[in-house]
Formats: sequence, C-alpha cells, structure tokens
Amino acid sequence: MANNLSEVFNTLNAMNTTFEFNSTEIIANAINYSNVQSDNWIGIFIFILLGLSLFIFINKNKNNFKLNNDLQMSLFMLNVLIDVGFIIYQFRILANVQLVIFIYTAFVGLCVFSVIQKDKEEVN
Amino acid sequence: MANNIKTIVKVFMIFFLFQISLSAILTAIPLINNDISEEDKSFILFLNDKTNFIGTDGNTLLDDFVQGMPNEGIFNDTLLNTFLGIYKIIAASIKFIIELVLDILIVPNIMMSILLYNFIGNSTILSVSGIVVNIGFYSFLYYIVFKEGIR
Repeated sequence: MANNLSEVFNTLNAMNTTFEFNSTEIIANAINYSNVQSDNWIGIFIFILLGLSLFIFINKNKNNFKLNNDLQMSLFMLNVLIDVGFIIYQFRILANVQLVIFIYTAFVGLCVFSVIQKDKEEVN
Repeated sequence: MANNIKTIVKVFMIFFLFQISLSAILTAIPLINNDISEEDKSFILFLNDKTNFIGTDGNTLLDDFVQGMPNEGIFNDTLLNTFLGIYKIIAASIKFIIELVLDILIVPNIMMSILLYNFIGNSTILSVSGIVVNIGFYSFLYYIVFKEGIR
C-alpha cells in the first residue's frame, strides 16, 4: 500500500504541476456573485420547504431511523430543524436571526401539543 | 397516574432541548458572523436575558455555577473549613439545579415572547402577556392531564 502511494506521489511530483484549490474562496465567490442574501419571504420559503421535505423524508423512514414514538420523532426533528436553520443563516439565505428562531419556536409549540394529543389518543 | 407523569416529563424534555438549542444558537451566531445587524443584535440581547436565568449580580446561570464551585485550599485547611467547603459546593449545585428547573418552567413565557417580538415592540406588554400565557399553559396542562384524564 505504502509502496503504491509513494509511486503515486512520485508520479505527481514528476508531472511538475501545482494544484490550487481553495474551497472557501470558491464558496465565498459563489455567494458574492449570486447575491443570495435575503431576509424576507424567499428565505422563509426556502427554510420551510427544506424543513418540510426533511420532515416528510424522516417521517416516511421512521423505522430506519429507529424512531418508535412521537417524542423521539419530535426530539430528532427539533435537532434537524435547528441545524437547517443554522446552515441557512450561515449562508445568508435567511439572514435574520429573529425569523429563524420564530419558525423554530412555532415548531416547538406544535411538537408539545402533538405529544400531549398522541398520549391522549393512545390511552382512549 | 404513571402515564400522566410520563406525559409531563415528555413535555419538559422538549422544553429542555429548546432551552439548550436556543443557548447554543445564541452563543454560536456572534462567533460565526462578524457583521450582525443592529436589529439582530438587540434581539440576541433580549433573548439572552430571557433564556439565561439572570441573577442579582447580572450573572447568567452558568456563570453563577462556575463561580460557586471553586473553593481554594479546601483539603489543606482545618477540618471544619473542609467540611463547610464541601457543603458550599453541594449548595451551589443544588442552587444551580433549582434555577435550571425554574428556567425550564418558564419556557412557555419565552416562547410567547419570541413569537410576539416581531409584532409588539414593547417589553412590558411582552412580559405581561408571557406571564398570562404561562399561567394559561399550566392550567391547560393540568386540565388535560389530570382532569380529562390520561389513564
């Protein structure tokens, strides 16, 4: 294995080319040129769309994710949603902390009432 | 009865996760973003006041805990001071747990403040409505869980 790798490196050195790949610069340029920064309806729309599609995907594959009851499902979804919100804020798709936390909080409220409702249904 | 308690514990687990994630996002956002707008800055300060249990000295919950723990030279001192020092540490952790519990109990208050922040720019009305919502939520929980009955 080591022999093979050293051969590869030797050939790469022999090619005498330089690899310049600066990924952070590429991403920064992409964000600058596409001018995606927004703090209004487009950002909210993308956030809700992403969250909803993830929710549907996870809900369909409940068994593969080993999510047995409603509590586990909501705890998992809350973690997923805070990650999505964070990434969306970081890339300035929704550059407004208030709106990210607003949508997250609304989802938390829904989760609480769904847990109470499910418990009632299971017993009755 | 066991099912009632289970439901309440589930609700408080969601509240606890909400608190942790809010604290995480509020800590991380100023670190990743150098140019926060004024609007966001005031919102972050507002939420910091709400989510961290601010004590009398203006310390947050975690600050109080960290300051309460250390006792210098605890095992090199007299026997009595060692004994009292250990009690101080136990009391600090009990105080932390009680404040954490209170912090989790007022989560409906925080949620309502966040939901209304965009529409009402007045902190007095926000806090009053938060208290009303808190009382309303717990009476609702009491009614649903104990009166209507999850048997």
